[in-house]
Amino acid sequence: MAASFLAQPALSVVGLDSRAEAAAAESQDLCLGDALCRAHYKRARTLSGDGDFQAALEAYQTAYRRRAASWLLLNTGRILHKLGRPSEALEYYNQYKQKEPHPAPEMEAQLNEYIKEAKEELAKTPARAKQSPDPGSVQSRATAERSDGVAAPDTENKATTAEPAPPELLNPPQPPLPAPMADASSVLPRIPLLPRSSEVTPGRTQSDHESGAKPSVVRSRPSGIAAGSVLSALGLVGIAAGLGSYEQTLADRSQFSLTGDEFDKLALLHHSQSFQVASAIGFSVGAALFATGVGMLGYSAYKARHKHADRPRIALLTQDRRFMLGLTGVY
Amino acid sequence: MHKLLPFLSLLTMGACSLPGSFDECTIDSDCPPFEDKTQRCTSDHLCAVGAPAESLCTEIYPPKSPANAIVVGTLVDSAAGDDRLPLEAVKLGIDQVNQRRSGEPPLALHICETHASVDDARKSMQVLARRRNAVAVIGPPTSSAVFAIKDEVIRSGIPIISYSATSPEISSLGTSSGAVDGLFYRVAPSDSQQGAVLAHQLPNPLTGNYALLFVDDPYGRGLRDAFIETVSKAPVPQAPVLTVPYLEPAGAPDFAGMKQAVDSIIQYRPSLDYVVAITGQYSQFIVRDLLEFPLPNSATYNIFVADGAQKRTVLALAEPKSNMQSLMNQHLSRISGTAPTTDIANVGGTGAYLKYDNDFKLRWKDEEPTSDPYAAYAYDAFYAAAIAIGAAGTEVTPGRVSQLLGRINKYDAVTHKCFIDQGRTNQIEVGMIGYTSAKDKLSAASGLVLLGASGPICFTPHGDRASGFYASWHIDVDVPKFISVPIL
Repeated sequence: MAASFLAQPALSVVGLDSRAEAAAAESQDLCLGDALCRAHYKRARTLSGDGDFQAALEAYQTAYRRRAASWLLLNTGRILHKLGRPSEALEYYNQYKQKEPHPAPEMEAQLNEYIKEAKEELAKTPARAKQSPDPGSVQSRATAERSDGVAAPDTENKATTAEPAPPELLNPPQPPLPAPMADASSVLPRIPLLPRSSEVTPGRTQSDHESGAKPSVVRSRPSGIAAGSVLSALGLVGIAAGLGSYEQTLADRSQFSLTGDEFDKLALLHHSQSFQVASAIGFSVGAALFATGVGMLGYSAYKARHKHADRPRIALLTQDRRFMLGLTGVY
Repeated sequence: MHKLLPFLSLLTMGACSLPGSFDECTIDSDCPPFEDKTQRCTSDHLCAVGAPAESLCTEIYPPKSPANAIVVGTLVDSAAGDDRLPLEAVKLGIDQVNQRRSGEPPLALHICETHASVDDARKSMQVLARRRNAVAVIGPPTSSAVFAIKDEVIRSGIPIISYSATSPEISSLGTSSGAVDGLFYRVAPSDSQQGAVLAHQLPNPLTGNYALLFVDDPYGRGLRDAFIETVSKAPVPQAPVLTVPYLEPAGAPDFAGMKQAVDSIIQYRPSLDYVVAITGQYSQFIVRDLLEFPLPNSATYNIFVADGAQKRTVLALAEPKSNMQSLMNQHLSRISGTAPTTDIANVGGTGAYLKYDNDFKLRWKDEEPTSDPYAAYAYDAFYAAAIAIGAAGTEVTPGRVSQLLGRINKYDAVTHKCFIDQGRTNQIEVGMIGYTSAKDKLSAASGLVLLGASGPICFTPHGDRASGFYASWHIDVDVPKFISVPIL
C-alpha cells in the first residue's frame, strides 16, 4: 500500500510515457493537481479498497476540504452509501448535481444509477431513511453481522460498483484502478455519527493527515466515549461518596469533645473509622474511575481527530514534479 | 494510562490521610478536664473520664478459667472501700459451685474495680457487659455506684445483685417510663428499714437535742429520709435541731469539708447532747473528728451511727489497750451503730451462716468474716446468681438469669417476712451441698425462699430484699472489734 503510494511519483520521475497523459490530466484537476488533495484521494481509494469505508470517508472529506472538487462529492456519497447511510449519500449526490448541473453523460448515467440504488435502499429500510443514521443501529447491525457471519442488508453492496473516479480519469487515460470493492459485510466498522464535511472542524492542519497508513487502532470510538462518560460519572459518584464519608468522619470527630465516656468515644471512633475507610476507598476508586474515564474520553476524542496520524512516519510527496520528504504524525 | 498512575497514587494517598488521626493523647497530661472531671489517656489514645477501661477488670477468678466459662462479673471497691472480705466470700462461692458443675461450663468471676468513683463503676459495668459478656453482676457495693451503672444495666439487661447498696431510691430505679423490674436485685435490705432501726437507737424518751450529720449521696439521703420519717411519726416528734450534710468527692476525701461539717456540730450552741451520723466510705475521718464532741454525762452512748461506719478503718482508730487514758478509745466506746446483720441466730434453721463462717475461715485462714457483715451478704448474692445460672441449664443468658432470680419471691405481703411453706418445700439454700438441689428447684418452680448466710432472702418484683436482719453494734476497743447484738 505504501509502496504503491510512493511508487507513482517515482515512476513519474523516471518519465514513463505510458503514464504521462494521465499525469497531465491529474495536474489539470482541482484536486488531483494538488499534491495533498491527491494524496488524500488516493488514500481514500486505497482505504475503500481495503474495506475501511469509514476511514475512506474521512479521507474523501479531507480531500474535499482541501480542494472542493465536485466529483469528490460523488465519491463521498458513494462511500456513505457503502456505509449504510443512503440518505446522506443522496444529499451528497444532490450536492454534486447542484455543483455540476451538466456532467459528462457517463457521469450522469452513473450518478443516476447511484441515486436509484440509494433510493431503493432507502425504500427497503424506511426507518433508517427517515432519520439520520443511528450509530447504535449501525453498530449493532455490524455486531450482528460479525457474530453470525451473515451479511446484513448491506451485503447488497456487493453488487454495487466502487465509488467513481474523477471525470478526468473516467476516459482514457484511465485513472489509477480502484481496488476491488470489499465485501461490506466483512468490514462494516463500528462507526460513530460523523459530521458532514461542511461541519467538520479541522482540528489540525491538513498535513497531519498525510499518512495513508491503515490505523492500528480501535474502531469503537463511540463505545470509548460512552465508556469514558460512564466511568467519569461513576468516578464522580465515588468521589462524592468519599466526600460524604469524610464529612461523617468529621462529624464523628466533632462529637469527641462532647463526651468524656470512654465507650462512647470508642463507639464514635469505630464508627468514624468505618467511614474513614469508606472515604479513602470512595476517593481512590472514584478518582481512579474518573481519571480513567477522562482518559478514555480524551483518547477517543484524540483518535476521532487524528485517527491516522497517531504514528509518526516518513512520507514522500510530490507536487509539480518536485519531491517532498516529510515527517508526518508528529506534533 | 501509565501517565495517570502518579496522579492516582497521589489521590489515594491524599484520600487515606484526609481524616487524619483520631489520637487525642499520649499521656494523661495531654487530656484536658471534662466538665471539671479529670480525664486520663487510654491505650487507644483517647481522653476519657476515670481510669482507662483496660485497667479496671484485670483479675479473673479462678485464674485459669476456660474459654467456655460462664462469666459472672463483680464490681468492688478494693482500694478505698475495703471490699476485700466480700470479694473473698464471692471467691469462696465460686470455688464451691464449680465443684458442683462437673459436666457443665464452670463459672469465672471477672473482678472489676469501681475505685469509689461513679465513673469507674459505670465503665467497669460497660466492660462486663460489652467485652466480657457477663450474665450476672455481683455488686456494686454502694448506692451511688448502682445509680451510676443504671443505664448500662438497663441497656444490657444484665441483672445486678448488690450486697451492700441500701438506698431506698434503688427500689424504684428504672427509666422515665417507670421502674424496671428484675434487674436491680439486692440482698442488703433497703434503708427504709434501717432508718427506722437507727431512729429507735435514740433514748426514749429523748432528753436533749441532737444533730443529724449525713453524707450527701444516694445512700446518705435515703437513710436520712427514712430516719426522719420515723422520728417524725413518733408520739413526741424528735426531729434534729441541726442537720448537716457533707460531700465525699470521688477520688480523694475532702478533709476540710468533713472537718467543717463536724465543727458546725461541735460549735453549735446550745450544746448538743447527741449526734446521729450517717457516714460513707470515709467514715473513719468523721469518727475521728467527732472526738471533740462532749462525752455523755450519764448515758453509755451519745453518738449513733449507721452501717457505713462499721468498717475496719474505724476499728483501726483504736489505740493500744495499754493506753488506759486514751481519749480516742473513750470516744470510740460511746459510739453505737446499726447495720444489717447475718443470721447468727439461725433463724433460717439450716445453719447457713455457721456453715459459711466455717467455710470462709477454712478458705481464707487469716481472715475474720465477722469483721465485715457484708461479706456474708456478698456470699448470698453470689449464690443467688449461681443458682439461677445453674437453673438456666444450657440457656444461660442475662434475661434468663434475671427471670429465674425473680422466682425467689415468697414473702408475706403485710409483714414482708419471707414465707416458708410447711415442710420447707419452697426453700433453697446457699452452700455447696445444697447447690444442685437449689438449682433444680429454681428451674422447676417459683415462690421460693433462699436461706442465706444473711437470713431468709426473698425478692420483691423490682428486686429488693423484702426483709432483713439488723443488729446494734458497738466497739470493743480492747480487742478491738465490733460487738453486734441482733435486733429482732
